[in-house]
Amino acid sequence: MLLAIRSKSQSWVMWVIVILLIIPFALWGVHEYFGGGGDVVVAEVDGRELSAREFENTYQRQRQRLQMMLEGRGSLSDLDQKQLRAETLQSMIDEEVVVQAALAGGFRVGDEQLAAAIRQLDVFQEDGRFSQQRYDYWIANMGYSPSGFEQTLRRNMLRAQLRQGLLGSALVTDRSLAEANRLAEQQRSFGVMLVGLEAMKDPSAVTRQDIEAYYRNNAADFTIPERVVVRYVELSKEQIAESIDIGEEEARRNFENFKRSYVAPEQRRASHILLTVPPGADGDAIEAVRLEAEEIRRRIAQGEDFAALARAHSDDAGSAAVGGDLGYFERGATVPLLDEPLFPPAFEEAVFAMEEGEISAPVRSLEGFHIIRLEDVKDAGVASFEDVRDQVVADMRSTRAEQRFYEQAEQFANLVYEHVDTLEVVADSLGLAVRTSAPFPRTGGEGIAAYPRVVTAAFSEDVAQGMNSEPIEVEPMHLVAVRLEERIAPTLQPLAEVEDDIRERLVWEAARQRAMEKGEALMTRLRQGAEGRVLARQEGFEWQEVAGAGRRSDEVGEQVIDKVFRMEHPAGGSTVDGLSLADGDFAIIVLEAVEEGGEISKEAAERRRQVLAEMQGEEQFEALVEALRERTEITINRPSIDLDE
Amino acid sequence: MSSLDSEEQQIEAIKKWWKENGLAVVMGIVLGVGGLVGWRSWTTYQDNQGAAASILYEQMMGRAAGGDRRGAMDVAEHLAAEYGGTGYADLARLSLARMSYRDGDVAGAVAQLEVVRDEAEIDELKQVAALRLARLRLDEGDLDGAQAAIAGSAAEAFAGVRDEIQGDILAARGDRAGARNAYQRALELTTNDSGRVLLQMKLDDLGGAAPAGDAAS
Repeated sequence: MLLAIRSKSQSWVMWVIVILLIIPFALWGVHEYFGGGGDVVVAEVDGRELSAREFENTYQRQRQRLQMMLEGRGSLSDLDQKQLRAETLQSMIDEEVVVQAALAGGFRVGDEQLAAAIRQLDVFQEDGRFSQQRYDYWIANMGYSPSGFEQTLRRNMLRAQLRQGLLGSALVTDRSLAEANRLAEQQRSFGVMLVGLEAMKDPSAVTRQDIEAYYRNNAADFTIPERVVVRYVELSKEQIAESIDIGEEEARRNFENFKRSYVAPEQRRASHILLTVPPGADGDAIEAVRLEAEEIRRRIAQGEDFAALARAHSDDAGSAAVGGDLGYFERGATVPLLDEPLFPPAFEEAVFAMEEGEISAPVRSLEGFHIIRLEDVKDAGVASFEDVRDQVVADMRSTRAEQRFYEQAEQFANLVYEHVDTLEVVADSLGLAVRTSAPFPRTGGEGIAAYPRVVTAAFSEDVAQGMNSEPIEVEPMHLVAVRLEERIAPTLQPLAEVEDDIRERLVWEAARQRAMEKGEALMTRLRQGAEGRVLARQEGFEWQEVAGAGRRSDEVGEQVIDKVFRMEHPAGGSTVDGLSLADGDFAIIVLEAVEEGGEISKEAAERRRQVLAEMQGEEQFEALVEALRERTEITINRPSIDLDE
Repeated sequence: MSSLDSEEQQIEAIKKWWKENGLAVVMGIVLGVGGLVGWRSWTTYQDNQGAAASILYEQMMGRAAGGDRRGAMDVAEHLAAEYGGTGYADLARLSLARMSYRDGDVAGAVAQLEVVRDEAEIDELKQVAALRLARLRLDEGDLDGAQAAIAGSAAEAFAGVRDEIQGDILAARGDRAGARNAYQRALELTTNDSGRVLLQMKLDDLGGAAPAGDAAS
């Protein structure tokens, strides 16, 4: 049979087979048969799988961003991380849903459009131009592959197009604007009567029985929860640093060795006019540029303004705009974020060889010809050892303490684990003190109990059974291990200790109640037509009249003004309402008039229209995303990314 | 040599089969390949249309952002006329509606929104257009028209926006209790902060028994 196939291989049978095979490959390409697969799926959105790898990359980028925002002012707790994971997944799904809808709706971002967008991104700009080097560096740094980055950007653009389309077209009608104006600028005039709590207090009305009954009925409030006392040892860099002595001689030697880091380097401020030489220019072309530079140099020498010439002729767009000024920089300055020299070496050499105010002859660098003016020289800070002695010693201490900490941390952990029944071994071996904490509950306390992880450990199963806790890293380079010293069961405070508090509370509550009753009685009289001012005087209460107060008026308390703006419009007469304030006083409000917000300036109206448009657009886009989510089939594989079911 | 024999027979059988079915097979392949090629060129066409519209769309947005309303409208009209099969045309019409309204051309704005409401490529855009239409009707004082327009948005997700407009309609009709209910529902569904502030103001202004938020302490 095989032989027969070979003999027929020249014939039509073979061709049919070959053609049949060619079709699918030609149409879809080989990669679709071999790509994909093998990766864990985090979620499926209408058939498109979001892979765990995609998720982790996105999550790490988000985390990096957050961490950068925190700038070492703390780290993300486990809970934060979990929440961030959930949010990351949600945003990935939302994005996927929107992108799918956009694509189905005929949205596309072509290759040229994408390339143009990349070229315009700020992060990739250098001297006002797109820098391939920067681009490569940046995407590698952010953990993208070039095609992965393009894909991400394309998706972002699709999403942004839809979102911007909705936001940009939000239509705020004149009626909506007028309504918002009317409400926001509304003013109300009213009177407030304050039925004070203080005058209503009657300590004699609270009996011993009342207090006892309250104590019995609210036992939970007077129970001190379970507390523990722990013994603990700490190993920290700070503590080690304190024990390190640095000799004078040693410090002086160190200062000499690392002088540079204690001395501010010399800085110079220069302006330049750059005439670029195109790469690959021949001798004549270079000479032409040099002559042009000479000409500019001559004009400056004749008294023409350097800054004006820079603006008119310099090819360095960034500095030309500010008259050629480059600001202060030091020798060997690098581009922020990149480890690349800020200036070409020849340029730097020239700047640091010039005198203040001098204008250089054209200097040839890799970029072209520079005419430089040295504006200012900030001398190197000349620090003597005595000036920075404390700093030097502190730095040496810190470095050594860090070293010693890492040496001892391992030993610390080992001894805590190996001698799980005692802290004395680890303390003796490393020369640490075993300390005893004050009692603290599960909600934490002072000192060592201020660290949530210590509290968790102190109440953990292992510690309850009399073992050492694990070494706890409460902050970077600070380890703690604890063991249980004493467990104090929940205790009911004796009545004698809390009696005064209870009496005060009961007196206060009764007074508040009385003020409220009094207030309500007065409200009835006001509704029947009594005049606020007169009534207040008769009853001996405070009365305040406020005319034309806005929503953010501070003439009366926040609680009162909020209430005022929630009251029924007075149709002709007045509206009366009241509320018990947080401090126990009862406020009675007599609303006399409501003035609707009138004209505001054209600019203010336009601003408000803008705000409303943004708000409406945002709301509608959110609703659109939600609607898309509702009609899309989404399955989430929660355990695959460490989320609870 | 029986194997050779049977091979001869097999080939004979294949030849015979081919004679009977060959045409059908060839037709099938031609149709299949034709279909695939057709489908491919259709998607390519769509991609090209989309990409071209996309560039125009960005141009339109750029001009609108730069304050060139006339120029933006020109591009938007071109988009709406020539790229009707893409969602960009719908977004262009939404923008046209806004710009027409700002120019005082309410009828023009209504017409654009009606097209999007009826024909948008993305279903949800139809609902957005319907709700915007309702606000326009309300602006004209056509309360029945506004009521009819919000019926064009059915999805649960739009309920918050819908309820706010419903509240506006009822308030305009003088039905304070109904308006209060509608605003209250909208407030429960709205997450946008400034949206909530405005809703609360609308609700408070109706006064009466404050249904919630009366927690004094």
